[in-house]
Amino acid sequence: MKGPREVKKADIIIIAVVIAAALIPMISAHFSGGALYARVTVDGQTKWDIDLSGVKDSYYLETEHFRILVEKDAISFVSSDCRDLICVHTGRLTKAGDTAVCVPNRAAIRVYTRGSLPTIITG
Amino acid sequence: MKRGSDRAGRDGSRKLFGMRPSAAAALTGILASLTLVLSLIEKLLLAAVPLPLGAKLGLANVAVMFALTSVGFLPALVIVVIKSAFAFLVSGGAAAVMSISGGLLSLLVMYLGLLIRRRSGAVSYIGVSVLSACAHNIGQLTAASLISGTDLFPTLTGPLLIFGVVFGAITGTVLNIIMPSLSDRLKKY
Repeated sequence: MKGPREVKKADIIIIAVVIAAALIPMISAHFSGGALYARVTVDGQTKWDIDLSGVKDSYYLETEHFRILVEKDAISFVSSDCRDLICVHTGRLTKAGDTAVCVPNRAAIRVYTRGSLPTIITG
Repeated sequence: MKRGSDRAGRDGSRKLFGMRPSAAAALTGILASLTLVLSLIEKLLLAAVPLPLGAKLGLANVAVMFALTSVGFLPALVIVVIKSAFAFLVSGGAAAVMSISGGLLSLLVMYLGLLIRRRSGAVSYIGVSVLSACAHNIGQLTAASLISGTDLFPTLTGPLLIFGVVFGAITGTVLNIIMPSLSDRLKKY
């Protein structure tokens, strides 16, 4: 039996490569400044497009399944009738690239800056 | 993985996955129930400390990986399917689809990783775990994209890969520690 706790060189290489692959898009998204927008999609269809930077007073957007709080430069799911509440736990989205998904309700919020408008696929 | 499936054992008795068929069936059952218990514990932990994006520890993957190394591919596949059926009962259809897509992709990567580990020994359970955890997350992301009808890859791939590395390294370390002593014990059967 080989030593039980040994970490191999390939382990370190794998970890380094995956972290690099993960960080590159995150960093590039972080530095794309400018006014923030949010797009709420349900079933792949755009339901609301919001100019987050232009929000003055906070307000709620509601459907029969979930409730979204829109604030200046922030947006979040505040309640949902789904069981796991992953969307609510994701918290406030404040940066380009931030995303909250409610898979049971087939709803997603994505924050983006002008020019990095997300592509939509219909499933 | 196959320690000589369906081959006659030294004592002439039929062997399945390198062990007595009854032992293989019993071990698969035990590991399947262990997987379910680990998923439940994980659910409880997440209820106390919710992680963003529904990220999970992947504790159950320890049991799946153990099944894959010590029993065989088919029993590991059965465990993944049972785990998804359990997700369907507890959390509903969307969760089950996410569970099965992540589970199958990670099982495949795990199988290939363990093959490389066995052949070359260049990589330990940590590397295999990290890759399979990332594969799990990518599988779930694919399912979530298809169900929500929104392409989530540009925004969520990065964070989910980071979670995969962190939790894959944790489960891999657990496996590095427990596997040597456990596989010694299993040889008796």
